[in-house]
Amino acid sequence: MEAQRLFQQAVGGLGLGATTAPYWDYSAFDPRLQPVCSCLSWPVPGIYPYTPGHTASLFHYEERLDDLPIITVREADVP
Amino acid sequence: MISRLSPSGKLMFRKHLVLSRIALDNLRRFHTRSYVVLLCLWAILVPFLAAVAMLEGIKSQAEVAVDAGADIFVSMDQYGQNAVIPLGMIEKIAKVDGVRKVMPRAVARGYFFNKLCLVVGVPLGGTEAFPAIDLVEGNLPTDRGEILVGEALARENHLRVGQMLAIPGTFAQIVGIFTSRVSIWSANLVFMSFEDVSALFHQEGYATDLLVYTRPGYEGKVVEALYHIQYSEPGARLLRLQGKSLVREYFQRGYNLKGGIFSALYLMAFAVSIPAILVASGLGLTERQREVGILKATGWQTHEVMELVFWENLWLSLIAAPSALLIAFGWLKGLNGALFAQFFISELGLFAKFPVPSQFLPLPLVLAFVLALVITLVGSLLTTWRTAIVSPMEVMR
Repeated sequence: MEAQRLFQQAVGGLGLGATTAPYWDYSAFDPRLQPVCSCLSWPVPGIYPYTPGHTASLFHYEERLDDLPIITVREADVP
Repeated sequence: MISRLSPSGKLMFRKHLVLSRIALDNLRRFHTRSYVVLLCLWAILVPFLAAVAMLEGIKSQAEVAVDAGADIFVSMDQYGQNAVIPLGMIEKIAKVDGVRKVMPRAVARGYFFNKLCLVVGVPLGGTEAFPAIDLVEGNLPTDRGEILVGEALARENHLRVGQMLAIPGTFAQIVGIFTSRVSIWSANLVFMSFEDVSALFHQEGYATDLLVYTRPGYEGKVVEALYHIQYSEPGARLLRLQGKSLVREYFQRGYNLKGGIFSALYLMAFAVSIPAILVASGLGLTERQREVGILKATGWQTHEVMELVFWENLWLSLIAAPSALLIAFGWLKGLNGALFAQFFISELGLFAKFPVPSQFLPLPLVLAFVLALVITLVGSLLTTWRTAIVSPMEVMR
């Protein structure tokens, strides 16, 4: 445990996901590096990303809503 | 405790004891059926226990990655994604009250021959922990042009300490090899100075993130102050701030969610396996039916026959769950999760080049026992009850 701690201190905290390298995107490796899967916007924006991180991993990190602009209906126009 | 029971209570207790012994004898007598049911249970329980152990193993390593890492990760926000941050921000952040240290870090993807690796650079000598990192061999880098490589990467490419590597535009010498025992994320890591990484990727003057270390109890205040900094200057861009407490919260939720989804899927697989157990436990059914008929003819009640079957399944589950745990333990610790771990740790390959992390906890064992009992009971109680309620003459005929 101490060796793990020292390694993580040296690299500043690296790795959270169940993969050894960021094969398709960073989010499956460490969502601190990139909180969203880049495959959500590439090659076809919006499709479900069939990345190893999404399909064959023990870990999945939900995106934080407060990091993105939230679009809502103007209060006066709410039906 | 038994001596405190009333005479009728003692009789009842002895009856249950005798039934449990008969059940154990039955398992020996119908040994083919017992082995087949055990094999079915192992086929279901071993992957379940091994996967849960791996999940716990990675989770424990991830907990350390959160705890021992920086308190706040700062990067720029670019259309909803993280972007590089200019090193000029270090000075501004360092002035914030409560900030102990700010360190730039460069994290990039690269290829080592044809194998993807993670290239990480931090200022050498900037971390107090450096001298104690576990290395397979060699020393820690002290200057530019010196690199550390991960154990899996070194093994795959037959690398050794002292070798010179050609990296675009320059050369670097391997001074040490990381051990992957401490973390799966060091397996394919190439570690060098921050300056080397930023030069390699032509990003001089920028870091992928700034690691901010705060004084105890100041994390929230520093995050708040940094939110104000980003709007204080004309033309300032949005910062993406990730505090340790927030990361920990999301990480816990992520693992629990994935663990929950995995358990739900596995429960479905369990449900599907019930007919298989039903078929397996029906091996030698004619013999069993005849035996139930004889028992009923000699004065056994239906509920006693049912209890006998319950005891048989209880014994089977008591044997199956711990033995499945032992097999899973051997598979992960002895065979390093060969052929299996790749389904849970992506892009691992058939045989992992580093120790697959696993942690065996008592709760999955209890869960495995309960599930084994439920499956075997569902698979056998109904058929036994149908046989037991028919007249003995008809069953034996």
